[in-house]
Parts: sequence; C-alpha cells; structure tokens
Amino acid sequence: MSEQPHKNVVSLEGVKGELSAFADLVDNTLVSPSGQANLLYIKSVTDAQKISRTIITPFYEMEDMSAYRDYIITYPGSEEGTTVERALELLLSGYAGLAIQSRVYFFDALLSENSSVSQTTTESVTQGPSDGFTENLAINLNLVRRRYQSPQLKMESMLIGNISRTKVAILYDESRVNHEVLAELREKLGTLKVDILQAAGELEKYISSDKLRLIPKTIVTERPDRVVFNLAEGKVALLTDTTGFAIVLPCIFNDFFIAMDDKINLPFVGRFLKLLRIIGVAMTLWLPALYVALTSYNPEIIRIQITLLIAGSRATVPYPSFVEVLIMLLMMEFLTEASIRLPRAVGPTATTVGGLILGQAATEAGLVGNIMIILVAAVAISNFLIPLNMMSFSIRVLKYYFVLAAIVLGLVGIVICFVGFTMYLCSQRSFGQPYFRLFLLDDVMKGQRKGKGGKG
Amino acid sequence: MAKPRYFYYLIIMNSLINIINFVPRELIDRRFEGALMSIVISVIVGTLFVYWFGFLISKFPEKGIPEILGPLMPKLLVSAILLFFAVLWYVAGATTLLSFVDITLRFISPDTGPYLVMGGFLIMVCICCRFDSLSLLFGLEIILAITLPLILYATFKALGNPNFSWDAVLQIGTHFWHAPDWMSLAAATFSFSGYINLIIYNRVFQNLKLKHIWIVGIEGFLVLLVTFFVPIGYFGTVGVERHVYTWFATADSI
Repeated sequence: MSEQPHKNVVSLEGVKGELSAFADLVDNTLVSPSGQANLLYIKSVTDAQKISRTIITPFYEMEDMSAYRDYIITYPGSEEGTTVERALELLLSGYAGLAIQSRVYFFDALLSENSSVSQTTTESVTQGPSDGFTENLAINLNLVRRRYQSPQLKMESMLIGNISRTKVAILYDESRVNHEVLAELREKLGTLKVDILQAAGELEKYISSDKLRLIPKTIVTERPDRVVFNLAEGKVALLTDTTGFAIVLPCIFNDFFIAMDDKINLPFVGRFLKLLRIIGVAMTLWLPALYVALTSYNPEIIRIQITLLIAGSRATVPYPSFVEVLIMLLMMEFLTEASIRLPRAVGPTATTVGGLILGQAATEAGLVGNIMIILVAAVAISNFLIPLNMMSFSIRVLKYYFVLAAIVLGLVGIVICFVGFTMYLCSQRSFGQPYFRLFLLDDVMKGQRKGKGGKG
Repeated sequence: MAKPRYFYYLIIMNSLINIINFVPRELIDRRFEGALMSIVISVIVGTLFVYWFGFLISKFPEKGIPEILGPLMPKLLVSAILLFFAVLWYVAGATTLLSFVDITLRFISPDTGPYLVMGGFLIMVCICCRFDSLSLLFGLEIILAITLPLILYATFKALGNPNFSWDAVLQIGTHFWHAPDWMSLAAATFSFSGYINLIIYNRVFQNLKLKHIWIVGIEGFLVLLVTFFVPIGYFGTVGVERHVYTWFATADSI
C-alpha cells in the first residue's frame, strides 16, 4: 500500500497460469479483518502442518498486515519473489508462495519424508540412489518432484476402482511428452471399469489392450530415479496409491535392459554391462533349446570333441534329451519359486542346499548329464541379469517355446522360432509407438534423437 | 512412416535370397555361354529398373498398386490384374518355401518329417503375414542386421579357403567376351527384383528418395559375382553342374 510496486514483481496469478494441470496445486485466500493474503503451494512437496502453524495461524493472530509481512520476511528461509522463473523454482522445491499487499513472498515449507522412504528391494544398484517408492502416493510424488524440478512436469489425478477408489496420478513433462500417447492413456483410464485396483502390475494389465501378450510393454519400476529418467525422455509415468511401484509408458524392448547403474559407471563399463545382459538373455533363451537340438537332431554342427563330451555325460541317462532338459528346468523353476515364498531367513539356504544336492544327486544317480547341470545353472543365473522383473519373468517363460520348437524341429525349429519371435516383437506397439526395431540406426542417421531410449 | 532406407533392405534381401534356388543354377549352366557378360549387363539393366520403378512409384506416396489402379481402371480389370499378381506371388512364395523345405531336409535335419518342417515354416509365415507392412519392414531390418555379418564372415571365409580354386575362376573369366544370353540375363536381374515388393510396401513410404541407387548396383554386382564364382571355385569349372542346390552343396563343403 505504502510501497511502490516493484518493477519486475511477480503475481501469483501469473505463476498459477504456468502451473496449470497441477492436480496437487493448492490456492487459498486468507481473509481477516486486517486484510487478505493469497497462499499458493504444491501439496505433495510441502509440509501442511508447517504451513498451518507458521503461515496461517500467525495470519489470523496478527492484527496488522505490515507486521505480518515483516514476520514472513524475517522468517528464516523465506525470500521475496523477483522473477517468474525463480518463483516456479521455489514453488517446485517446496516453498509456499504468499501474496501480501501485491508483493509475493516465498516461505520455506519443504516436506521431507526421509524416515518413511525405504530402500529398493527388487531393483538394486551398487552405487547411486537407493530410495524406492513407498505405498503412499503423496510420498511418491514428493520423491519424483524433488528429482524433477521443472514447471513442465504436469500431474493429473484420477480415481480408479469402484470399491477400492485407488488414487492414480499421471505424470508427464509437457514439453517433451508425446500427446497421442497421453490421449490414448487418458481414454483407456477413463473407460476402465474395475472394482479393485491394488497393484501397479494390475493396472498395467488393464491398460494394455493386447490380452495375449508375451512380453511387457510398460515398465513397472520401484525406482524414482528410473521414473525421472524416463520422464525426461518424454514418457508418461503412472503412480498408484497403495503400491510401491510406478508404471512407465510407452517403452521399447531396449528399455528393459537398462539398469540405473549404467549411467553411474564409466561409459565403457556401462556398455560392457549392457552387453553382458544381452548375452545373458540370449543364453537363457537358447541354451536349453540348443542342447536339445544339438544332442537329438544336429550333433554334427558342433565339434566332435564336444559332441563326444555331451554324449559321454549322457551315457547313463535313460531318456531323450528333451525330457532331461524339461526335468532340470522345472526343478530350477521350483527352486526359484520356492525361494520367493520361503521366509527370508530360510530362503537362500533352501535354494543353495536344494540346488547343490539335487544337482549332485541327480548326476550321480545317472538321471541327468553333468553338462545339463552346468547348463541349467547358467540359464538360471543369466535369467536374473535382466534388471526389470516383468521382463525377466517373460524371458523365463519364453525359453520353453524355444525348447518346444527344438523338440519338434531341432535346429530349424529354433531358427523358425527366433525369426517368429523377432517378427512378433517388431509387430508390437506400445501405445502406438514401435516397440522393437533398430533404433540405433535411427540415432546414427539423425545424429541425435530427443530421447536416449534406443541407444544400444 | 518408413524411412527410405527400408527400400534398400527390400532389394538387398531379394538379392541375398537369390542363392537359395534357381539363380546360381541358371547362371552356372551357361558359364561358358555368356553368363559373365549377362551379369555385367544385368547390373546396368537391373539398376535402371530399380531406379525407374522407384521413381514412378514415388509419385504415389503411401499408395500400393491396388490403391493406385483402383480409381483409374474399371473394377473388373483391376481385380483381374490383382488376381494375376496374387497367383504369381503365391506360386513364387510356394516354390521358395518348398525348395526351402527340401533343402532343410537334405542338408540340415534329415531325420525330421517333411510335413513337420513344412508345417513349421507355414505357421511362421502365417503368423508373419498377419502383421502390418511397417512391422515387417522393422523385422526385415533386424533380421538383416543379424544375418549380414554372418554372411559377410562366411563369404570371406569361403574366399580365403586354401581349397578355393582361383584357377577355375580365371578359366571362367576367359569366357567373358561371349555374347550374353537371355536365360542368364533374366536370372541375374532377379537379384534386383526386390523393388517389386514396393507395389504393396509403398503404402508405408512417404517420400521415397533414390539418392543412393548406386549402392544397389554395386551390392547386386558383388552378390552375383559371389553367387557365380564361389561354387565354381569349389567344384571346378565342370564339377559344378552335378549339383541341384549348388550353393548349399558349396556351403556344406566349406
């Protein structure tokens, strides 16, 4: 009132315009006999108690607006807004904006939920952040917003499930997102009719149109840093309340083989790890099938020594190679499954002892060949190189298709199955976007591409 | 929309599959009667064909032959032409598939039943032909990316083999100046006939650019030379004619 309005003063209305489509934006007007103030903050990054205690209560207690303003200015951590950019930055990092007498002040009200955030359990990394999503949507939003402080990060919220009324938040970076994908997602979520929604994986099942799909087409992750990394590539993230996982879409086949360590390690180490993963997938998919094909159909392809070695180790085995492979693979699956269900303390012991003793005894009894044991172990280990669980499970099941093809047609079957699988991958679309092709070549030809999703 | 590079994949694929059945046979049958000259001429003619067809079809972005002919001709004529094409394609596909089954049984897994192998291939083909053109092009790219290095490796391995008789190759080279011959010319231009696929795949090409057509010429020439000379190098100038699937016998002997 008494002061001249500052030249580049920001108005809360202007800031609010920038933050459209922020479902968790709160805009209150405080009115008392002495005057009025506008309060603007983002709910998921601010501490509601602190705002109520240090901003709202004094407002009604103080009689003079100037005194209140002085109180706000002198409060530690508060600052006056100068430019819109700075104002957005402050709001996104957990400040509350307060407009008093045509001036805007920012008040530090950051919510820090350090205590309740736990470590990741299914996607561990050696270095780098180990925060995992929790089962609380607000905390999850806080985890994402803290890492992605941009006014372009929009959020829409929805309630899904007639009974469970699960809160679902759609997050995306407006300047980078593909709007067709977004429209398709909104339409799918809007028409979704379910009673109970409890897990992110469940939601993933509902929103993918293809009922008979062999491979996951959306990433289900529990790492906020993966979500942020993907948001920056223009992808959409779905956060669900009551589950510690987020869904990222659309995605390509390659995305499933990126671990968050790749970025942290030295580039050549990262590439090596990626290569390891690809070799691992190839091994786990093809080794059992190749074993069947090479022992039963085409022993002439490999060197004579290896043929003899395999034949020697199978000398006592009383049934064809595919029975041997299936028995051992099933045994391995039982062990893997059992170790998930067993109590944490017993789990590893049961697996090791079960695996070792079973394998040892089975070979000594002459039921399976020695080479088979090595092969099964290699298959089991290499399967878990895949950083994302959904894909790892898909690959686990897919190898049986290859074994089946090898049983029926030998090596030719494997080749047919491989070509068919490649074509199948190529025919898939994740929310209208191609799922699998040589993205690498696109990158090389164009020089650069906006996202880095396809980089091999 | 597909990028122009997929056009080249279609041609490369066709020139690579030419070794499966008839092309080497035809060429080698006339190795003393102008096959070499035919190869040289076919490179020029084939490249011109590719360029010509690509140029014409690029005037109709995102349209296959059915869509191009549809508004121009009477309905009956269009159906007749399309039926003719369909039969032609079917026969070509079936022949390739059958010879593939035969080759599989002969060289790869002699103990599997022919119907089983046929069934396996058919299931794969049926699954694939339900996919849309763009996916098939993506798939083609991936498959080429996987097989091309293997093919190159095998070729260099074949050429570097001490049992490869360069004398036989030079001996055939002396017949270079023989007048070209229709059969081998026709067989050799098959290598370039991948452009025919555009009559359907043009649906996904928006702006087809034909800047690097020379690649097609060089690639086709090299493939034809390898197709022609490697069996001769292995079996000698006269011995080659004793094989039905010349190239698979060659691959087997490597």
